[in-house]
Amino acid sequence: MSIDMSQFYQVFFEEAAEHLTNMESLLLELDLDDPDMEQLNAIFRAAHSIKGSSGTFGFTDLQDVTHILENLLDRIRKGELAISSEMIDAFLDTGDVLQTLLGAHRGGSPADPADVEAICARLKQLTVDPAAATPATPATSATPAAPATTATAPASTPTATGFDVSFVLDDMTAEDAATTVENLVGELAQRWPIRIVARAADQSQPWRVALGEDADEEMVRGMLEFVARSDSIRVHRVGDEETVVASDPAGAYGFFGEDEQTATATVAEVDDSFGFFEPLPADADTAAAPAPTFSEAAPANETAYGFFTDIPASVPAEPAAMVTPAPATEEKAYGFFTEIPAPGVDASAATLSVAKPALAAVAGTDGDGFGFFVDIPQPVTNVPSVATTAAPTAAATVATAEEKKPRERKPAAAAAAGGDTSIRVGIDKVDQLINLVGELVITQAMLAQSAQGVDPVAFERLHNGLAQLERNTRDLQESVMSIRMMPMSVVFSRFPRVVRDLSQKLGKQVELKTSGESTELDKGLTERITDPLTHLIRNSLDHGIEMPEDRAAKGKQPVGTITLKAYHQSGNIVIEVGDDGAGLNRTKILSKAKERGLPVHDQMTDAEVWMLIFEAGFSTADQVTEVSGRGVGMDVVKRNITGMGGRVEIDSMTGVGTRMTVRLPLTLAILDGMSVCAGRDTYIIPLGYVIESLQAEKGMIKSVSGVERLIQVRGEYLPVIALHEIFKIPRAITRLEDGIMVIVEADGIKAALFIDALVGQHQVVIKSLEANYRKVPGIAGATIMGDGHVALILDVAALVQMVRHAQQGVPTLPRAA
Amino acid sequence: MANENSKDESGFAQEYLTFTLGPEEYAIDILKVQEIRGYENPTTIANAPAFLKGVINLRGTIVPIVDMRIKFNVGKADYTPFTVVIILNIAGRVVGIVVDSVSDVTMLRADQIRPAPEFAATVDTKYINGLGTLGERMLIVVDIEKLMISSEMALVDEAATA
Repeated sequence: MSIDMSQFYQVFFEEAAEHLTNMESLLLELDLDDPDMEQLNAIFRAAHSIKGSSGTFGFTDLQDVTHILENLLDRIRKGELAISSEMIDAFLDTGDVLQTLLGAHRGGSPADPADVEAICARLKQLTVDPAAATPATPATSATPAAPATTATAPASTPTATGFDVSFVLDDMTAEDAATTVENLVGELAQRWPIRIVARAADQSQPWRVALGEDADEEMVRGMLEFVARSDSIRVHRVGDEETVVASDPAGAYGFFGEDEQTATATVAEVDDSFGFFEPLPADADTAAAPAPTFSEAAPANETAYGFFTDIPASVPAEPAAMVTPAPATEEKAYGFFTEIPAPGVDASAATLSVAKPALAAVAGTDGDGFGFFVDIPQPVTNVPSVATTAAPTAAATVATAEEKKPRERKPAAAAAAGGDTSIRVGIDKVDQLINLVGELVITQAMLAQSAQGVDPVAFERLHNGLAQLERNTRDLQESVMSIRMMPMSVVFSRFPRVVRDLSQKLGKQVELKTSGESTELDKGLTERITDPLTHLIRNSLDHGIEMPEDRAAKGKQPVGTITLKAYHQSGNIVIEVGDDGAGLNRTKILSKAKERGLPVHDQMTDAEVWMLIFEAGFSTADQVTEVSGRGVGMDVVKRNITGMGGRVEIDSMTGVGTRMTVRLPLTLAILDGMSVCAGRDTYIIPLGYVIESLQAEKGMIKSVSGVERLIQVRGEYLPVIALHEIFKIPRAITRLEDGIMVIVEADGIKAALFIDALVGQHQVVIKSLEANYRKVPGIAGATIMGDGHVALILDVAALVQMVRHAQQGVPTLPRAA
Repeated sequence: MANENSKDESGFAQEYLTFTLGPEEYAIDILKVQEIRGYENPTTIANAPAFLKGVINLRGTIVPIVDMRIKFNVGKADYTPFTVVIILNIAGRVVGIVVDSVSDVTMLRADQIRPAPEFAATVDTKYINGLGTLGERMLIVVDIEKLMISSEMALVDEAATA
């Protein structure tokens, strides 16, 4: 039972996009100095809604981002954090990222995970310490120093790309770390240029190696997994001109060096790393030294930066001096890594001149990626998502950075162009349109009728024009009507999930069968019918379908069946929820009803007894379960359905099953009807019911107990429903041979409707009688005829129903509900 | 009822539309009146009470028509070119009432309306706000809204009124 959620995606996309737009405009309106609480709440709600629905639809990437966003917003609206312009910027950028992600799900090409990571890190940083973002700006001052290095580093050509790989050896291999890594490097070196960037001091510390640009990430991972803890493997794509330019020696110092000497050595390595892939012997102790310091330094700083902040502390040579350059070092490090994971980032964003996004990007990718921060909760939690999102793109983006940029631009434009495939319009506007078109149809019909008296030869053009008007009007009407109509599948497709979850919970085996998904129903009704139907299905599942063993004992298939059926029937849409379960228990219902003091007696018909389950608070369940049994629900179902102008009926047979039939009016439906007259009144018989019409001959009419009640049509005896009797129509033809018999069929029962004459066939707009009057038994609705008069539409199903009672005497219409 | 009277004693005057049914004069709150139009033959509705003449098409809306003369059992229910239908807008519903003629619009102060004595009539006194005196005329002030949505008129589904 697969659930096709994809049809709801469109709704989700629309809603999410709407929320995003809303959030954006609210953010832009927000007054920083005096933020309006209501606006903050609205922004929070928007984020929250996106998070909620993206979670429901399984868009975890959207959910992750919005989750962080939501946390931050929550703190702001609670007054724990003061809102700053950085935050607004970050939020707006988040909105863009979310848009991109949405676009990706909509069928655009995948969003760049680096952007996502960047924004997550930025938001997280803001959550932890709003001030931490500020150092980003002074950081740019470090840039001028960089070019110097570039000159001496031939490796920093635009082509210098590669992979930055880090991993922590697993316990098994850690014993003999050096040899293991040596072997590994040897293996890797056979394929791609490789160089060890940093050695691990002990088994909890990561190793870092740099790999050539042609390395196959998947293969590297695969190989690493033999020796390293699989959760610690990080593979990052590195390289690009800016990157290396930014790789100022100072950054490398702090990072790798313990004292100046080693540091210098490392600088060389760093620079070389992208050009010359020769393995460099680095002292294991060197790398080890920062580690202890790091854990102390980290808590003091924002987590993602902890890696870099401990740099000065770990350089004993000139501790005091290094403290000041620290932020700068940090920045260089940022610049260094920014371009690595973010090939899609705008070129300008990658350079240090735009420090903020760059910084954020590093915070998300690098800080987490190195696995240095094991003891810091935040990056750790983020690691899996970063790693997973990073992987596919890294694999996908083998092309050089130069090639990538234009390519990644395209989807954004495409998404923007293809995004507006639907608009959301207020229902009232659509309704107004429908009403107006209805009026137009009536006017057109009036014109057509008046034109019939005009000489067609003399007024040929008028007739032609009117014919065209009729066609156009009909087309217009159909299109307008279709705006509101939605297939039942919109409603039905939610139920497989309901059935699956519930049957698992209850330990029952249930199969859901649906039919008539294409039956169209007014949108307003599809929304309102979902809840009642869910209730009915839950009820069937809980009370109707027996446990598999009980079913087997009764000789039934252990798998129960719930059938959902939808079809049109005159002015109604009928939705049936049937099960092949135990059926309703008459005695139990009656005794419960007596217990509750309801006016019941044993002579009640089954139908009346079944209707008792719709009484408020009525439940025959022995046990109140999580699912049902509290007796709340069925009464609500009935109320909802009645509220829509519909009705519910129950058929049940003990041991065989139960069928709940929901009939809803199609208030907007346009009906193909046959107009007939009886007396001086015109009635419309919905064409769907009509099988044939004929004039009865004397011999065809048979009487039962002296009353002419049956007509023989092709061997079948059909009951006669004389409209003039039922509706007490004066001056109608009473002799059955003089009028016309319209053979109709409803609910599988055939009957002959006796009327005076056939008038014609029309498309009529169903007008509700209930709007200003009330439901009339036997009448489904009304319509306005071409001459402006009102004609009533017959409720054939109700009329045929009477046939069942006909044996008991004169047919009477059931009392209106 | 008592509340309404006490409120009305502030001297607040209301406008009423007066119409005749046979020899009797009735007054209804003018704010409930949507329009006044001539009588046209309605489409009869099967098994409806006698006073419900049927439904008409009022610019695309199906409007039930009640003949007050039959309901109140006054005058002769004949339909002449002068027979008038008052279209009421009550609780969002549109209903037409057939009357013999519309007289005028008058102002009635609360002190001009006397409580109606209990009398046996076809109309339950609970739908009569009181009897208004205007010179020689006696106006029967009807709470038309209460009357029209009452189950007695059967104009509204029980489900809707419940």
